[in-house]
Parts: sequence; structure tokens; C-alpha cells
Amino acid sequence: MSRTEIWSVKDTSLPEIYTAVQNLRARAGHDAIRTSVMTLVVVAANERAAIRAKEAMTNLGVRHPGRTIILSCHPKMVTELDAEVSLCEADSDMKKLWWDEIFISVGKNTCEHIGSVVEPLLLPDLPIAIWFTPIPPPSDHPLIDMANTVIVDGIGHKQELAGIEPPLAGVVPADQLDMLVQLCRAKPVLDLSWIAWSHLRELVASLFDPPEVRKFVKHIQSASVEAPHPSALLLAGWLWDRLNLELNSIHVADAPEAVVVLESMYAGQSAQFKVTSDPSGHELYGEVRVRGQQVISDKVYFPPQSLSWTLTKALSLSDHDRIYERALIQARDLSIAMGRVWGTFTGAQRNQAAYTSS
Amino acid sequence: MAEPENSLSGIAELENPLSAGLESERMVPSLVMVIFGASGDLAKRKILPALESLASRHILPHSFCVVGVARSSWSDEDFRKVAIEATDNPCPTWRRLVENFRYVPGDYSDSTTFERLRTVLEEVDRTIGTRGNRLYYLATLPDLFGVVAKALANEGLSKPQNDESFVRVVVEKPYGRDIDSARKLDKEMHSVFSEENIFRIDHYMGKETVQNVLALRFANAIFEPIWNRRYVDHVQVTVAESIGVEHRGGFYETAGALRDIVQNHLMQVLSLVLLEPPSSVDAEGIRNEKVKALSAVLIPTVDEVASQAVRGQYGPGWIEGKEVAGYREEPGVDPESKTETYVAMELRVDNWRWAGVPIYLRTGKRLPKRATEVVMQFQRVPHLPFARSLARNLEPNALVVRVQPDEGVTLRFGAKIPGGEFRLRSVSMDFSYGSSFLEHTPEAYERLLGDAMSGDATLFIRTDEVDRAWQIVDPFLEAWAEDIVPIKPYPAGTWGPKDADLLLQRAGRRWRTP
Repeated sequence: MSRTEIWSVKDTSLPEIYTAVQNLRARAGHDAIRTSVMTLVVVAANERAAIRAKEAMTNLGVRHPGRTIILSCHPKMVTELDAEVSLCEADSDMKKLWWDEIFISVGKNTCEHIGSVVEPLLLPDLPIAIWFTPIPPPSDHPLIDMANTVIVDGIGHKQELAGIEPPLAGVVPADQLDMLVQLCRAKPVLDLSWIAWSHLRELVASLFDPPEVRKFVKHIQSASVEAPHPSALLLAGWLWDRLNLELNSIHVADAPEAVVVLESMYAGQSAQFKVTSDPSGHELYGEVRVRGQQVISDKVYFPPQSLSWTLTKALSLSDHDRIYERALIQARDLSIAMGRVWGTFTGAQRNQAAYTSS
Repeated sequence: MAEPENSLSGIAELENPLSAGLESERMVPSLVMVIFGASGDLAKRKILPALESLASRHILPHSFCVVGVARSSWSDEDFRKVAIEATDNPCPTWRRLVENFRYVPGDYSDSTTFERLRTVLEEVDRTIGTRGNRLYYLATLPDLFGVVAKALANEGLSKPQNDESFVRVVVEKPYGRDIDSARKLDKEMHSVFSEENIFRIDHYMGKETVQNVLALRFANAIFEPIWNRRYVDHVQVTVAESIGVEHRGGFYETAGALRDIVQNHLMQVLSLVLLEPPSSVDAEGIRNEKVKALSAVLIPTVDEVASQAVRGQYGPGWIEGKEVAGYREEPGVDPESKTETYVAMELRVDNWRWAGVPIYLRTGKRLPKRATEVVMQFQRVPHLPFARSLARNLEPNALVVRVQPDEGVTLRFGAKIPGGEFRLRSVSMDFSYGSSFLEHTPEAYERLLGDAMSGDATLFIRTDEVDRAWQIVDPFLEAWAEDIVPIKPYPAGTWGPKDADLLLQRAGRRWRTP
């Protein structure tokens, strides 16, 4: 991919931006086809998030939104509207594709009316995905109405794995989770951290694929989830919901690496299903131990997950993910049941915050 | 891994609540896939890569195995190596599955080959838990389909072991070489397998754009009302290849373009273009309508074929900047060969929707580019209120479904050229798959193999479809045999013999250049 044309100016206006896009397109020639998948609007909470989003866009490859608008608010900015417009081009299957990227920095006043900046720049008739990074929006955010899907960084994941921001310090997870629950009621939400955990979820599910152990899946008696705070809650919420577990059979703990252990008992036979991630974050180990039988093990390698990888997955989805939404509700309830201890703990305290409801 | 118990039967089909919402939710049942012709080109180039892709998407189950059967004296390890090397970057799941793959060398006419196969299958069921489920893939020479089927029956491998297991067979084209041989083959196959368990594969049906013909027609209010004789002037279907016969000269000499492309790919695409709206897009709904559509195609007499068809053969020429040999100079080809590498034909359809609308089909090798497309050419407007001189470049409207490459749909319509005069010309409104979706597009074989494993026959060809396609093609074969349609040479790198252009020109039409 290459950014072939760039137009950049400070203290500009929407008509100027629009004209710049038109002019760049006119110069691009007639042999290129504009991608017409969707418009992606990125609402970056800070400069760092905006740069990260821009880098992620660069690595999306040819399967790319037709237009990306990256917005960041700068309350202390002297001007009200600075913009940079790029025309990007890539070869795909013997033809040229192009799309445009618009980076807009807005000052305090304009920031309060961000919808008026976004609306004129949307491509007609195409779906609109709005990615709020890293802070998820409240469900009454002014841009939510115009979105077909809302992308959020989620509630935390190993940064080096997915490049996703950690949750905001000082925010109680139950509140944060509840905010996402409310958002899901308004629009389909694509949670990047949930998507980034899909390898682990696939492996946990696949442990029950061998016919000789499938019977155990309906008889799980306890689940233990260790994972970086607070993704552990979401994964535990998923297991709680899917396996119809008792609340007091769930154990959640903050840990640098993910470990999921499910204990089952069927017809007097006990079995343990365990998934562990290695410190590199690129390997997962699965293991099934049925008492009196040989251990079944599995290992999954996956390429380093980049933010672009996760984002590509998210952009290809458009519907409500009911499994995620139910996991989220359960995670919130789990968090409430835990007495909202997570958000207030720090450092070593948090590491000791392994919780078993009783 | 522990040996599965008898009581496992049925347990593997228990729902796994953790798979919901994951890619593995679409997982196919536990099974052994047996590839006959496992050391061949098709297995290496298409089948194994398609399986690897299914594995990478978590669609293959944990209890899955491939058993290769072929004459080559390979070992299990040799076959596993081929399976791993079938793709550039095999995924970990594929690597794990391949470790269990087995290979049975042997001649198909030798019963001990199938005895050894049975032993291996029983062992795989026992060790991997594939529960007696079988998918046989006949990727051999067509002459061997019946032989293999019979040998499977003799060894007791053609019937399910119990009510919960299945035995299916996938059959590659060509399905027979004329109507008589196709019916004979059908009889042989049906003596072993029931029709519902025979999956006749035509990879064109696995292509997204071919399936999109149904979406285009029946998911849009604007196309179906004009998809008939009142608005359509004629239909063109083109399957153009830039390659020659490559290393398949020997095979091609016994086939020709009519058998290789027209009887299967072109008839399949045509049936989707012509069919009436099905009540539902399921196996029987779609296939019933396809058969009805093909049944309405008028079968010409052998004499009529002379004026309705052109057959050609490529000579030396230039393609993509390279000089290429003529067909008769290709390895394995008779220097006096009369095998056609090009066919153009006009068909008529005798039903309410299409009466009077000519259908033009063409296919050829060594044409200037690789392109498959369906063109609905609409009638001209009844009156043009512009000076004729200003509308010289205005063509009738056309809807072009591009099957490959650059998959998509183009609507051609007239527009005013900017400027003082009211000059007109045709422009394109374009939909391109590559620029409109972010979803993974499965390869045709990947899609079809997944369907066969799941037992979904919607995109596979039913016996009556095959039969009708042969009925349509048979008079052309007869005319070829009797030399009623002389073979016309065309230089490689051109769009076929001039006579093919005349076929349309006599009615004031012309081929669209893809």
C-alpha cells in the first residue's frame, strides 16, 4: 500500500477538506477503483491513540474501508480544525484499488459538535463503523446514532499481543462493563479484546471435540480463569453463560498469562480441561486429563496478533454478537458479585485478588 | 488417546455450547476422507489445499483423517509430506491432522487394495474416532469411477455401518463422455450408492460469483422483472482460457472443449441464468429448477448444428507477449487432430420466459485472456430522441456478471458526454467483489468440500441435470463425429475463428469482449 497523495493544512474548514479529497481523487486517474466497503470513523481519545489507529490502517492491506476519518480532540489546540488528507493506493488482483484517509484534529468547541464534522464526510450508502479508542463511548454519544457498528478496544488485553490499550485507571470494571452492556443494546458492538481472545476460546471449545470427551461438556463443575485484568472477567462471563455454571463454582484471578481450567465429572469419571498461554503470547497449550486415561494434548500456534489483524476481523463483522453480549452481562454481574474490588486494587494487591465467590 | 467405546456413538454429535459464535461452530462431522487418485495433480493442487484452508478456519473436526489411495508406491510419510507441502504456509491445525494421514498404494482393479483400505479405515475409526463416517473422493480417471465404486461395495465399504453414520462419494467431472456412457456410469454408481449420497462436483458451482447470480436475480426487485424475453435481446456466456492444454494433451484429445467445458461448466452457469425462482435455496429447490430450465433448452438436430455451432482449434500464435505452439504441436496431441479447442454455439429455449431469445455460448483455449462472464444484453430503446450521429457510441444496456477474474457485476448504460453537444456513450456502473467485502472468500473446492462433508448437496449436480446436459450436447458431438461442422483454425491469442463472429453478425449482434 502506498499513500500517493497527501494534502495537509492547519485551521481549515470542512468545504476545504472536501475539495481536497475531490482534487486528490481527480488526480488519481481513472484506472483505479475506489473500495466501497464502508466508512470507518475513528474517534481517538488522544494523540497516541490517533497515531496507533493510523498505523493500524496502514497494515490493513487491500481490504480496506473506502474512507477512514480519524478524529482526535485537543482542548488546548489553538486552531479549531486541522486536517490531513491522504489518497492511498494498492494493487489487488491485477487492478488498482484506492481509498482515502482523513485525519482531523479538532479544538474544544468543535469537539462538542463532532457529528457536524463527521456527517458531511461520510460516503453515501455505505455502512459506517465507528471505532472509539481507547475509551468506549456512552450509549448516548452523539455519533452512535449514525453508526451501523461500534468498535471498542474492549476491557483489556495484553497490549503486546493486540496493541490494545489497557482499561482506564480508576474506572471500576463493573461500571465499564455496564457501559458496554448499554452500548450493545443500542448498536452491534465489536470488541477488539474479545476478538483477540478468539484463539483461546477456539482452543477451549476444541478440547471437547474428541468424541470420547464430549460427554463432559454438559457436566462442568468448576471453572477457573486467570488472565490479565480484567479480561479474565469477560472470559469467566463467557464460561459462566455457555456452561450454565453456578456462580460459586467460578474462580477468577488477575495473572499475566491466561490459564483456563474446567473440571468435569460424569458417571463417576472426572476430567480436567486446561488451556495455558505461553509468555510469548504466540502459543496456546490445550490438555485434557480424564482419570485413568492417556492425556490428550494440543498446541495452537498463531502469528503475532497485531491491531490490524484484530481490526480486520472486526471490520468484517456487522451483526450483534449475542455470545459476546451475554458474556458481557455475566462479566458485569460477576464483577458486581465480587464487590467491585478490582478497580480499586493496585499492583501486588491486585495480584492477590484471586476471587472465589462463596 | 484412549480408544473410543461403542457407547460413543452419538455422543460426538452432542452440541458443544462453547463453539457457539466461533468459526468452529460450522464444524463438519467426524469423518475419514478417502481420496482415490491421491498422488495426482488434482489432489495436490486443489483438494489438499482446500482441506488445509478448512482446517485453518477450524471447520475440520478433531476426529478427521485423510486416507490417500493411488497406484504410486508411496508410504504414509510420503503422503503426509505432500499434504504439508500442498500449501506454502500450512496452519498448525493442519500439521496436527496430517500426522494421522494414511496412504494405501495399489491398483484399483486389485481387490487386495480395498482389503488393505478397509483395514486402515477400521484402524482410523478406532484410533481417531471417525465413527465409520466416510467421504470418498473419486479424483481418478473417469474410466475408474465404476471400478472403484464396485470394489468398495465388494469390500463392504459402500454402506453406512449404522443409522448414525454416513458414506458419501464425490465424483469429479467428466461424468461420462456422452449420454450413453453417462447413463452407464450412473447405473454403476447407483448400484452401489443412492443418489442422495452421490455428490457430482463442478467447481464452477463453488464460485461465489456463480452463486451470486441467484442473489442478483432473486434478492433484488429491479432485475427479475426485466429478466425475460420482453427486455432481453440475447444472452452470452463466455468461458475463455489463455492457457493451452498444458500437459493434458493426451486427455484433451479424448475430450475437447465440448466435453471439457460446455457439457458441465457452461450448462451449469446457463441453468442458473435461465431458471425460474425456486421456492427455497436448498438442494432440491434449486436443482429442480435447474433441471426444468435445461429441459426447456431446445435440442437441435444434427443438421441444425451446422448452422448453430462453430468449432475451432488453435494454431501457433502469441499470448501475453510470448510465442506459443499450436494445438497440434502440443505434447500428446495427434498432428492431424480434429479435437476442438474452441466451441461457439447458439441455443434456443422453449418456454414462456425465454422464447425467441438466442443464447450464445462460447469457450476456448489460447484466447487472449482468461475470463468467464455472463452477459444479459438488453434490447435497444424503441426510439432514440437524439441525433443518431451523437449516439454512435451508445450500445444497448448490458448486465455483465464477471465470474472470473475481477469478480463482480457491471451494468452498462448510456450517459451524456460532458460538453455543449448532446453526445452519448455507454458507461459502466461497477460492483467489484474485491473492493466491496472484507470477508474471507472461500475457494470453490473449499466451499464444495465443506458442503459434501456436511451433506449439503445444493451446489452439486444431480443425475437428471447431467443427463439433460448430455442430451443438449449430444447432437453437437454427433455433428463433430460426422464432420458436419468443419474444424476452423484460429491463431492463439485471438478470440477464435471468424465464423464465431459471423454466428452473431448474421443477426446484427456481436460478442462482447471481456
